Amino acid sequence: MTDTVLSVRNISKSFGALLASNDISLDLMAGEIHALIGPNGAGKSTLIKQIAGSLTPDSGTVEFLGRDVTTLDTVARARMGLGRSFQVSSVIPDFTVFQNVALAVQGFRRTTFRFFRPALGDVAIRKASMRHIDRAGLAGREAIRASDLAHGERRRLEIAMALALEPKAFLLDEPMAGMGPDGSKEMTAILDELRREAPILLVEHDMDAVFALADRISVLVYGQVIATGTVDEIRKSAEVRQAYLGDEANA
Amino acid sequence: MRRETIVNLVLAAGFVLVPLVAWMIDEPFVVTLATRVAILALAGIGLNIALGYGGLVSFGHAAFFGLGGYAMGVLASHAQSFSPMLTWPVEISGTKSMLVIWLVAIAVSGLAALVIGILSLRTTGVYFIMITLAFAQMLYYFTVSWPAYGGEDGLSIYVRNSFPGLNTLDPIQFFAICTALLFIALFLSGRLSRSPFGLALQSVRQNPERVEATGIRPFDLRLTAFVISGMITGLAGALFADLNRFVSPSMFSWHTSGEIMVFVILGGVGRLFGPLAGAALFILLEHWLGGFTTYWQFLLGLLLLGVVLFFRGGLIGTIAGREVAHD
Repeated sequence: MTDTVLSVRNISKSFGALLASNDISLDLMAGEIHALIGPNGAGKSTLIKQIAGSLTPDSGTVEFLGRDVTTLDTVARARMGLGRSFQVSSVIPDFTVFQNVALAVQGFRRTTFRFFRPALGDVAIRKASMRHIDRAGLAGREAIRASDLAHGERRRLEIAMALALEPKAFLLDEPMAGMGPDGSKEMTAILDELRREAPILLVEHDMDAVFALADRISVLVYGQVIATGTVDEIRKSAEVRQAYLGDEANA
Repeated sequence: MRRETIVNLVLAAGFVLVPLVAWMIDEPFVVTLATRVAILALAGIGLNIALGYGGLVSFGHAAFFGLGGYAMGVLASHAQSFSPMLTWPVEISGTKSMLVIWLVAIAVSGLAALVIGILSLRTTGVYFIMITLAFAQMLYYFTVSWPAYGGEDGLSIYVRNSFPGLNTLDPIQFFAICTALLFIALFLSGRLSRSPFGLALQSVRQNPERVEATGIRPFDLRLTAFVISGMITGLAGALFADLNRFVSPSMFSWHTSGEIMVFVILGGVGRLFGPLAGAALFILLEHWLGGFTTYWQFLLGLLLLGVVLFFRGGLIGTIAGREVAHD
């Protein structure tokens, strides 16, 4: 058996009367891409936030690398190696691609509290940044301001920043959102590469990408995981078809 | 060379030349005006680190300016009356040495910034503005009602404090001291903005959530910036008191906080030389427009409106153009 990297155990979270997470359990194994799918409003974002640490569950636990991290905040979890990308592109808009990635590199290396030498003059940081920029497919774009990037490139910049944390697990929230078909294909290839680095918990709407990439899929509907299985199992499941895929097939 | 760098160099060169020329044509008053610009710009450089780089809209920087001023006032008043400040457990006497006064001013305002920062940086937006304002007002009313150091009337220091090897009462020499400190602060502020800390601080202004996800705690960045910011503004306060040979509670008033903020906004928020450009423009306007009408601040208000509405980059931004991301 492979090791469990990330483990969500019986998480529940409600906002007033709305039960956004209802006793959710799921695992992320070493080396796998585990996709989380579900219709809008199913509670995917709420779940991701609880895993990343920006929301605390009402009950249940989150374990990362065998340690209970339920009470740790986002910063502490990021330092343990949880690399996150956001649903809406979240980069530092006024900074260049290079500066953005350098920020993540210095976050990882804990070299932020240095006040005198130029951040971008540091050879080690330069090299590491260029490597991550390269891997995310942004070579040659490092001097471009993040706000001037095309949407797809900005998503790739997020991947580069997540890579810079040299994570033990990736938490990717809709990396394909807003990309054209070509961009999606390219991103699929990048994610396929990434999985060699660390396992990925992938929230994604693009079904082609999910079916191409995922080793396992969990389906979230109304705050509950109604099924977890391989791509084939999920495709065949009647319950999933009815709750989710069926809508698309009829449309 | 970047356009902004050229603008900065011209500004620096021009600033040094103005009082030299004034001195040669024997207009000592202009030297004093320029000294005021240097000191107020220094206060602005402090605020610019919090406001410009960190996005922390502190409306209470008068607290640090005033503490620096009172550090000077208290130390020098004890020295001039030959009465010790403290007799037990150890005897501490006052001093007329600028170097000691500066260190005390920096330490006191840094400590105050640490305490105020820890309490106020839990909030953001308008609450942060209000809390920083409240702290400065507390200190204002405290000094007003504290008779030992002049209360509402303030404290007069008869002779300017001393600096080894210089005659500080000579306007041009005092100007040189203040300008040297101004340029040191500019140099450090420039280094800071490009350092790893500066990169992260400016990131936190734009996207704190992203910074958290890279494993850096925004609160730590903001607090550190706030303390550095307070220390520089505190040093400016000590110099300001020395320039006037007088300290009063008005250094703590919200009016002072507002003025420091005006320098930064007029010159260009987050621009290295913004505070110098802003303070120079402010003093020029005060001097020129003040000659025409006592209501010159009405015109200043119009100018400020114009800058905020149409020239967001302030004086530096308008001349040097959009900030080029530095490499």
